[in-house]
Amino acid sequence: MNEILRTIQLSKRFGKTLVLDRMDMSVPEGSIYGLLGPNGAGKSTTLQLLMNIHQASSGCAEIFGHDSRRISPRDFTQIGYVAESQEMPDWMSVAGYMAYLQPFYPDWDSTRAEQLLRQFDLPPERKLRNLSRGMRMKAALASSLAYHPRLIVMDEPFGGLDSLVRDEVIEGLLANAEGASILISSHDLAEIESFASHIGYLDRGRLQFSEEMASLTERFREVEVTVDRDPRVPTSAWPASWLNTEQSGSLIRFIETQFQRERTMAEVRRLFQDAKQVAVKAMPLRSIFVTLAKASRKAA
Amino acid sequence: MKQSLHILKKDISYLRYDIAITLLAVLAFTFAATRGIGALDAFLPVTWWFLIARVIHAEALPGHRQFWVTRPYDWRSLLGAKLLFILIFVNLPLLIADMVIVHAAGFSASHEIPGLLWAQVLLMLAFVLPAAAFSAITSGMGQLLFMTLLLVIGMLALLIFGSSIHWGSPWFQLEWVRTDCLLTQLAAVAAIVLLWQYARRNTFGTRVLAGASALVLVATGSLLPWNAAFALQTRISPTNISPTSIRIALDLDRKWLGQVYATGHDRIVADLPLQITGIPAGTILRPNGLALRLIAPDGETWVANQPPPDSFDSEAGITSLRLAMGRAFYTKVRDEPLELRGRLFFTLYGNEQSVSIPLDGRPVRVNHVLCSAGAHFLHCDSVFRTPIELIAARIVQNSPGGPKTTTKNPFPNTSYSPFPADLRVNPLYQSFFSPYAETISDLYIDAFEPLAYQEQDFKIDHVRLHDFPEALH
Repeated sequence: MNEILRTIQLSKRFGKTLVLDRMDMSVPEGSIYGLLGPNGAGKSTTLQLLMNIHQASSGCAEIFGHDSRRISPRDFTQIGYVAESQEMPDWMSVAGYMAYLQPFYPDWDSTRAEQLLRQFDLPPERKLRNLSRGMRMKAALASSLAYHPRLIVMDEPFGGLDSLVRDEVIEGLLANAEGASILISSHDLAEIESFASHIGYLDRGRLQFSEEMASLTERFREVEVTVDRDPRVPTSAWPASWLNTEQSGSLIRFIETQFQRERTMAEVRRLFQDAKQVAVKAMPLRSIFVTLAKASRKAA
Repeated sequence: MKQSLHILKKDISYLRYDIAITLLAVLAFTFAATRGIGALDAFLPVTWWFLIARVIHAEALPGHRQFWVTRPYDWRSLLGAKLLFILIFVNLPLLIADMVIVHAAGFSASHEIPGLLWAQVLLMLAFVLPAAAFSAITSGMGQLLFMTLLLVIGMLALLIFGSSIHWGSPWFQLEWVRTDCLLTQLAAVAAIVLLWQYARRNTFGTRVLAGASALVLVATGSLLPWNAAFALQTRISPTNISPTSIRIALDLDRKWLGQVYATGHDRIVADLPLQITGIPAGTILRPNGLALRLIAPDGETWVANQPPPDSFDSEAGITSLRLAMGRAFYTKVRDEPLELRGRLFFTLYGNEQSVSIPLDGRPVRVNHVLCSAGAHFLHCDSVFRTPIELIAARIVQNSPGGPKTTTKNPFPNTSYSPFPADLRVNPLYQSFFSPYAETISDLYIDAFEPLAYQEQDFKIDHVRLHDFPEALH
């Protein structure tokens, strides 16, 4: 699959603080890539480096196959960028803003623009400054979807939105982004899980993993082992892929991060020969995220 | 260009009230200037500064949250749109205002096109580009006002502590060299800051450049030698006369005209009568500067770059040479035969043109000056710059003791600038003279063309300071 963007050893330092550390990430064309991570992980910085808003301290990024530092106005005609913190010309009305942007985009679709305003229930004559937070986000999204962008980059688009508006934004995005690649940063895992095809997890400036959603959810499992008597957890032979081990009486719980049924079960049997019961549960993205965050903190 | 016009259209819509206020200010300024009131001259740049900042900040460059940085803006189109806006709402209104003011003052706007255009160039170099650059490295009015405050404090500190900078004498006529030198640097830095910031949005880099350039500008203003400015003037001006006959010496027959006196605890000033002879017939000599060295018999030297003589009687050829020195040096050498070496910088004027001015208020043009007179007044106007010629008004009055002739210079602070306009908002230079109750019977305006800018060395031996009247208490 072709990559719509990638980063190569991308690093960013603000003063003495290393915000992004040698990040290698690639987003396949046509994918919906969720860049996850806790606050301060470096997600927004990554997106801003991609958009050439900041300059990398070292390494580089490529968009549409060329260096993001040379991203041109022509490239921006194919990119929709929506950020939670983005300032807009507040003195303009919603319709005025759309009309102002139209001549910048050769592929602007007026019919779609009108349809987006209707779909998002945006009052055309209302000034941007008088829109609620959710409406501003919808206006920003509408203005970024009206020209059929090839790439949509969204930085924390769901921050501070109620669930109804969040659903509207997601529905609007998915309904109008046909064929586009989407890179979305968020710590709202539940929402990302519902539509992302790829996931990258960033923590303290380092990309911990980057893979397809299906493979990710396939390899994470919560395993509960029940034994006859209080077990002694063997620390020396404990597999590195088993994280966040908890013990409660005769119950041992851990997270397997490289789950393969036969191999994992064989390992369990080897370590817990008196195992009475072994339960394996699939994990939602939120739990995977929490597991990784905890393990990362513990390692640090 | 299409994108520039689109952004321009948006800016006009956004800033329509700001534009209206600026245009009203220009109207008020024009109205006042045509009536000889200069009160709004300082107000107009404030409105321009505000308007320029507002239009630049509409797409602010510092920061990372602006909507436009991830839209298909071409930086050249954006910069073009901003400059076009400024040209339309700052330069063009002033151009029209200047034409109205010039016309109202009795000058023909079509004859003053060089001045009109050069005034616009100066406005661009001295104000528009720096204001735009300053706005481009700030994200909003708060930051801009803070940085302006810092600039004002810096300038005040410079005025208070920068006593080594000679802003006045002897620069007067040559001030244009320093001003234009600073303006060129200022505009070059502003242009680089603008281009760099718009092309790369490197706010830190452009701020460092702007700060460092401010220091360089101050250094240029303070370190540019006056002699170099005069040398430049000599080089660029045609010399129409060779004043080889001029001799400079102390007038020892009139020692009584001199005086040695104390100014402060450590400073002694010697005013010595200097005689300049051999001035070519039909010309007037005007001293511009004086560099002196007083050498004691033991070789100790006192060096002084003096202000030019205050007054010079061209007919008698006498002026006062003012020599300031330390008290210790004076005490040591007052009885010694000293060697005085000097260099006089001067301008020779000639080709006199004399025009009689009717006393019925009708304006008469003398070269670049328009003069009108009545029985009790003389009024002269010049536009865009003070005249390069030496203008003298000969006023004949009927006094009780018989006709009396006095000479007045309507424009004492002339500029030797070769350019058709000086840097200022109001294009009109006005001079008004009213000789009180005495009626003017005849009035002539004499204009002398500058023929040569020269410097001449002189050496005077055996100067004894104690030969001159002393008043040290």
